[in-house]
Amino acid sequence: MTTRRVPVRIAVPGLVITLVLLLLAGIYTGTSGGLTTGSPLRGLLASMGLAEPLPEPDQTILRLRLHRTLVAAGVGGALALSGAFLQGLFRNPLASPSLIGVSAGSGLGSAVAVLIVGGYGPDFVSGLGSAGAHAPVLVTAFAFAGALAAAFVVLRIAARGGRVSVPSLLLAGIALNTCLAGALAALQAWTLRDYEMHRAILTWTFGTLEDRHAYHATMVWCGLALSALTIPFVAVELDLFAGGEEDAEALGVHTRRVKLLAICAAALSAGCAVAVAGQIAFVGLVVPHLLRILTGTSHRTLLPLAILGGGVFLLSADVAQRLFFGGTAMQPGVLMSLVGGPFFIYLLWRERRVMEAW
Amino acid sequence: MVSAGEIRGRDLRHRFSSGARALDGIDVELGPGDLLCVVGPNGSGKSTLLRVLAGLLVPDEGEVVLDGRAVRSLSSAERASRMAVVPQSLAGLPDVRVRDFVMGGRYAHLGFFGRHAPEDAEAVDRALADTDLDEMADRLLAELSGGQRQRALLARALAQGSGLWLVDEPTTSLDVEHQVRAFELIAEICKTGRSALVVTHDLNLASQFATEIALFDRGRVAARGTPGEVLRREVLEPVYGPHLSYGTLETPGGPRPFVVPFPDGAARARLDGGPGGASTGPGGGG
Repeated sequence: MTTRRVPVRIAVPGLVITLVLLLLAGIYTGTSGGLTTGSPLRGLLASMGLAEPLPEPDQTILRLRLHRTLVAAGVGGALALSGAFLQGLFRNPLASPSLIGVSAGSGLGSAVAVLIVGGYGPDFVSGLGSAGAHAPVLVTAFAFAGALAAAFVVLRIAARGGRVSVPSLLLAGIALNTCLAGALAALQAWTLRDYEMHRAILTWTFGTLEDRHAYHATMVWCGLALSALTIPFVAVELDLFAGGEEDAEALGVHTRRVKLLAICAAALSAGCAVAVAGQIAFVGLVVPHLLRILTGTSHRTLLPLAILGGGVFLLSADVAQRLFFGGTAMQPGVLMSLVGGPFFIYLLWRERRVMEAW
Repeated sequence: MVSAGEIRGRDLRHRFSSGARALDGIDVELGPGDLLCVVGPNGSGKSTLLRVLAGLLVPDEGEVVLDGRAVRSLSSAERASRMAVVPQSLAGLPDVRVRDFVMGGRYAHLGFFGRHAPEDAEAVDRALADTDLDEMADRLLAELSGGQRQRALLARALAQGSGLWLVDEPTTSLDVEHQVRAFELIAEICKTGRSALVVTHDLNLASQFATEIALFDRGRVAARGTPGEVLRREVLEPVYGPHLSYGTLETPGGPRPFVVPFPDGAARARLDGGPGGASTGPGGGG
């Protein structure tokens, strides 16, 4: 018999309050450092039109940092939500957008879109100009399509008789990640002579929170909000998926609709996150996993909390690396791999007895 | 509200993708109060029939009609409010408390975002009490024994409040006492005007509780009738082989045949105590 952990179930309202306070603290810390005049709070209120702006250049610095913090929180929330959807759908705590290839599908989609719009030039960054005007939407749309295609391929390969086994899921993820990485590498090799294009595609591969604009924040939060709209229609249903798809169907769950909704929502949130910040691994694995240990498996609490928890997680990581590493800013994708990789190894180590039975 | 619990399957035929024939022209009909036990060797098509009737598997040919409507035309929620499916086991073990697991049976009745009314909680409490699980309601499902989990599955079906039960081997991991109680529970349900189809390997429990037994063999109904008509040597031996001994138990409700796996048809039974007696013979109870 496998050893079972005693679940640490803590009160959800307490956790929500803690996460909201941490999120606010993260936004404040992330925007306030190094300002020479006035209070950061005034600057934040000013950016919402509620106070007099700070003297320049402080207000501009604060605005740019605010974009970065909002993007970090949105991307973290979107990735964690995507992970929570996928873990519920695959009935598997090891599913996450990066492990099963959804992030890679999204990254390849983004890279193709960057190639189509002709690179990551000033027009694209500003979102202005004839070619650039629709570029962010195009990149997001391609990222979403790539994520959706990857999710369906994995589901198709790994599911058998309504059941997704852990090895088949992970092997499908490895296979898909390998294929997508190969395609992305081929794309990079092909664009090697075009420095700007190559740099733009490479940026997505690493993931970045630098130079983020208001429309980046808008895009990721809109994607996240749309994705979150599905929560009331899939949360209870995903709880019932725990006993198997056929069992859920017999209890009255429209399983095909729930699967479709959950996959689209997971692909949309992961797609938006990758489109604005590139591939950032492990947020989607770690955050829902920790929340499940803390609050239990009910998706009615897990899914909304994943948004909050993911936001706090990535924002804290970004703020911490800026505070502690200062000028040598590390890409969030690299940082998350450095943090998330060991965590994944720890998960595998802890679950090794269970895995012997796979 | 309990719906009528009438189901009819006509000329059901199904082959697996491997080409093996699972159902070969099965007719089945259940009305209010019926408790039909489907028995037969492994791989004879019993569980496939259950999945087809439940609408979880579309047969190659034939149609299933539930309460006057084609089962495939019903939405998942409509189906669940008319028909409860009790699987032999679950594909995964939900990490939830027993009460929340049983509440899953109320899914077709729940409001938006899983909001439940007082009658849902009452139905769950009643179901937990009727399956002796009320003291374990707040324990995690994973902490229960195999038999207790089996009862949690029955409790969930009870909470569902459907008119028809489709039950797949409900006594697999139960001790003898709870095997009888599981069948008693299903028989009680049928006495309230609902109906149940129970797939089982236990011929004696079927004899004791079934209003009718259908014997399956290689996707066909080899025999169908009352326990006395089906549980006889000349009916069972062509299907199960010669390793069974047959007898009749005199019960207050009349004679009931019994079958024990003993490879000598001449074995004699003697029952100790109790008001009735037993007799065995080459023909069994007929």
